[in-house]
Amino acid sequence: MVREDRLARTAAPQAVGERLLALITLSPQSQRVVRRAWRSAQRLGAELDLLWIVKPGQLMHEEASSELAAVRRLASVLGAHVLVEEGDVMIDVITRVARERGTTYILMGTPPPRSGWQRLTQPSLLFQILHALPGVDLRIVADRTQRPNGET
Amino acid sequence: MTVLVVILAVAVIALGAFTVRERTRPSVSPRTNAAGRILFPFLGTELSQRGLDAALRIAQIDGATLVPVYLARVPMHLPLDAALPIQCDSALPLLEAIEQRAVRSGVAVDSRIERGRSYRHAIRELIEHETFDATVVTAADSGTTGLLPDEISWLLENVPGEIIVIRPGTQVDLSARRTRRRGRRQAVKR
Repeated sequence: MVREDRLARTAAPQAVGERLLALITLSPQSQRVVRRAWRSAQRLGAELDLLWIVKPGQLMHEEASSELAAVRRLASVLGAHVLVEEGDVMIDVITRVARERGTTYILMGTPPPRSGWQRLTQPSLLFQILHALPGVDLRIVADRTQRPNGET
Repeated sequence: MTVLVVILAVAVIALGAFTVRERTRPSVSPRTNAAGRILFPFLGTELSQRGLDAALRIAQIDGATLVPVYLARVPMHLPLDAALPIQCDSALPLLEAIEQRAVRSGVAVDSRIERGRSYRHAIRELIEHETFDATVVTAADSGTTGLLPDEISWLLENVPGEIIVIRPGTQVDLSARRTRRRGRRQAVKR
């Protein structure tokens, strides 16, 4: 290979393969996150992973639940991948999965309000993600239905 | 020493008040499981406003969860479990619009997308795994999307529970359309 070719190859912009990871729960409200994530993935031409984190020991019970089956069916229609991971500490699981899957973008719903004690003792999950995964974008999917006048 | 005790007492009272305030704060998500479930299957890229209004009204009266189900037809050349991005492009804005209407009416929603080789097949798959008390469907008319008469008679014979058939309105009020202006962005228009 001549030097010019090598230079051309190294200087050429490399396509950035986007991969989205949506953090979900088994509640119907999570479907909004899945919808937004899928539409973002479509626009970016990216793969979409849906991650549900379950407490250790609860998986067998939850695997049989109709809610998880519904999530799996929705993911199948959308062409997304459902990942079910056990773990006590959410940020550890998210970090591990994001690194394994090569995630570039994380989407999550509005976190539930934290108690005063939680606020005093530990940073929010958002800040934990930003700190643990500095190269990954984070998007909070707002609940549009909570707008004051409910406009679409 | 006294000063230290006073400071500690103030700190404990402040922490207690803070905790009480946090616990009495209203929850952000007011909707949870309701009494029953009402299926609202629909298809295509348009949705009958009358049908949706009727389904919402019934769900509201019964305190039930509305389960809007987009019926996706899988072409024969594709495997049944294939991803359906084009149909999802139509389904998702409609499901979102339904959800927003439902929330305004104070009705809980649990959306679904169900697929099959035909609409009947999709409904058969749906009733196999879904629990519900009633089904609200819109009949098709010339120019509107809905279930055809033979599909409705099949529904009456094969689907358990109450079935409410809504006559189509004169106009279609909700549609999912593709706008070119901002790429592949979807819009829901009234």
